[in-house]
Amino acid sequence: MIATLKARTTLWNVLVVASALGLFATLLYAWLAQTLYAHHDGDLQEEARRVLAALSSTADPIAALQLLDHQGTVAPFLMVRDAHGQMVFRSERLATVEPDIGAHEVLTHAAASGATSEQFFTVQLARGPVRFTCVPLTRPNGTYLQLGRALGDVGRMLEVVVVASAVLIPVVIVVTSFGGFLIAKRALRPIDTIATALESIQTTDLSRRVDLHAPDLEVRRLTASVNQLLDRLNTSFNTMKEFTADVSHQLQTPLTVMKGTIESARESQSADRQPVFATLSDEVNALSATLQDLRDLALADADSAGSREGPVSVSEVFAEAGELVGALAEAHGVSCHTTIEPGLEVWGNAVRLRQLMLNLGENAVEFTPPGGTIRIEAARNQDVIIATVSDTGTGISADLLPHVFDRHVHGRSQHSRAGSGLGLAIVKRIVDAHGGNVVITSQPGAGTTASITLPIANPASV
Amino acid sequence: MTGGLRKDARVDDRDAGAATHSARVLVVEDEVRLAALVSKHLTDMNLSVRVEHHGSAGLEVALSDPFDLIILDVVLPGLDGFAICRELRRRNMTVPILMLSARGVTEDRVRGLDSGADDYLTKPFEFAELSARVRALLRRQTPAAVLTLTVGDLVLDPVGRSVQRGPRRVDLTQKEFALLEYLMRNVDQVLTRAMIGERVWDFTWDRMTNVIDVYVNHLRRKLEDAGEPRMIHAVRGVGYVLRPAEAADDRHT
Repeated sequence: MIATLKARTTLWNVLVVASALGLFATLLYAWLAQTLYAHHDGDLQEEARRVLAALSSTADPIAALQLLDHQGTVAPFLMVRDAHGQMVFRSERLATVEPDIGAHEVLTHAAASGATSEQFFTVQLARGPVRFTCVPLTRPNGTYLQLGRALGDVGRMLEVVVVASAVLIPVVIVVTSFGGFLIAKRALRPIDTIATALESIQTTDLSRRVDLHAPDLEVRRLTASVNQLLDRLNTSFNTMKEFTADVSHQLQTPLTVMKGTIESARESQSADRQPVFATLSDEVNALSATLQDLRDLALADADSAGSREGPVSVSEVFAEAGELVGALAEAHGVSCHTTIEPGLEVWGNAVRLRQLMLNLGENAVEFTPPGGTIRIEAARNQDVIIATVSDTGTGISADLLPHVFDRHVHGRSQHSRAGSGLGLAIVKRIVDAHGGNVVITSQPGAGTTASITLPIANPASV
Repeated sequence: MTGGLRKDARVDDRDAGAATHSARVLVVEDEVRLAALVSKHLTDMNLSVRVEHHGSAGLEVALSDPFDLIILDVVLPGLDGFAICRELRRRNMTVPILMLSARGVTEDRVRGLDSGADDYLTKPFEFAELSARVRALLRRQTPAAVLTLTVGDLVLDPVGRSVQRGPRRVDLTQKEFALLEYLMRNVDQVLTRAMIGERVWDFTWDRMTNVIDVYVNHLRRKLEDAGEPRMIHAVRGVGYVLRPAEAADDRHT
């Protein structure tokens, strides 16, 4: 979902900070509410005791309450209810402020449920929340004194906490996420650098190393490990290439002995045995050709990186190769048209570039039935040379197309000619070694087009 | 089909034998079986063959005994083929040298020719190919600085880059011209397709055989355009030879 480590680290950072702040605000609110209510309830209890004390010494408690109410020395929320919740006494002041309080459900219920001890509860009245206590009275018997104090200050205080949290927490989160992003970016910068360096190190130049002098121990360790890995890769790649090249070279001598033996044996054989020896001879030739291709493949990178590199006139090389492909095409009854823009130059190895065009041409001829057409074209397009080899041949099926550059995959349907299947793999290596790109498109039954892009030698000159 | 092949090969061998009677060849090759095969083949060509398996021994023999041709493998114990070749040339020995090495290594080929070898043959090779090259080297004379090459009614001017067949001017492409010049410079001598490829195109390619056949056909068509008799003849399994029209009439179709 979120692809970069940087973004994810930042996101986690924000989530942790948000949770911590949320928890902090919730705990603060709970603690503050608890403290404020306790304080408020203490006052309320004190006042209830005062009222009870005033009532205990009088014969007519209701009259005493009316007196207290008139004096205004108690809170306006002053009531007495019977066990059914019916109003027995109500403060004069309540009549105008809260005319409907008599029927209030919570207060009615509190009296009706027969509270036996001091209880505190909050009631939402028209003017705002009011904290009430409900105390049983002995006279008149079975009645309850209900005394309340508006929560005004407490409510406002808690409201301030909520509003402050709602405003400040997002601000803090925004600041933290920005800071977190910067930190993540800074912490991950060495990884970016190493990745960029590794991307530029292709299989063609495994001798290069990641050059990073970071002060951090972890990054230094990572760089060292990556470089050691590259060392080992480079060594084993070179060993493999040298081994392949050497073995394919060495095997040519026993093949010569085989070939010579077959030839001398052939001379003494009757005419009807000749095809057997012809087959043997052909197989030795095919084996030899495959060994040669293996060697070419192994040396495809090494060569172009070597001393034989320089400015190459692709126009001349491709024209020469195109002429040879034309002759080969003619031998197969296929026509070939070559259109090459003059003056095209790339930096590379002429022998390899010629081999590239010959392999593509040979491939095109091989899979184009007599009467077909091959076109070889090369032209400059801004800073690149685009060369195409297209044919009207059998084409490549869609399932094989992605694998044409793999070794030992015959680009097209199984074919009788003994080929090593390395031709297109060599093409790919050569193009890669020249910093280019090769794409093969095909329509089965209609033909195939190989497009090569090569960077021009000196883009500044026109 | 195969009968024709063997007859032609025999005819060529007899020609070679006559031309190079008692010629002495030194073969320096460490692979014993290959050396034996080469030796047998050269003996069949009526050549007198000496085989050495070691580099230093090969150089010693080459310096002490006179030879008409030396065949050197590149990879040898003791002293490699390039070193022997350079040493012989350093001592101003002009004996023709043919080097053998695994096929297709262009650097080796260039290196071999640079160190003074006259020809370079890559393994695995056909023995017909070896015969053709041995014959070419044994027959080699310092090419005279001729102004024009003439074979029968065919005249080629290397400087003016023009070709005449009888009274008729023949227009050739660059490669056709190079091919004809090579064939004319080696008149009556069988040239293998590999030799032609190396000389005319200066590199080898798997499919060069087909390409050379196409070029020979173009060349024949242009040379025989006015109904003249054929001069370039195929030698089955080996290559091509250019002969004067009159002489070739009865030998090949």
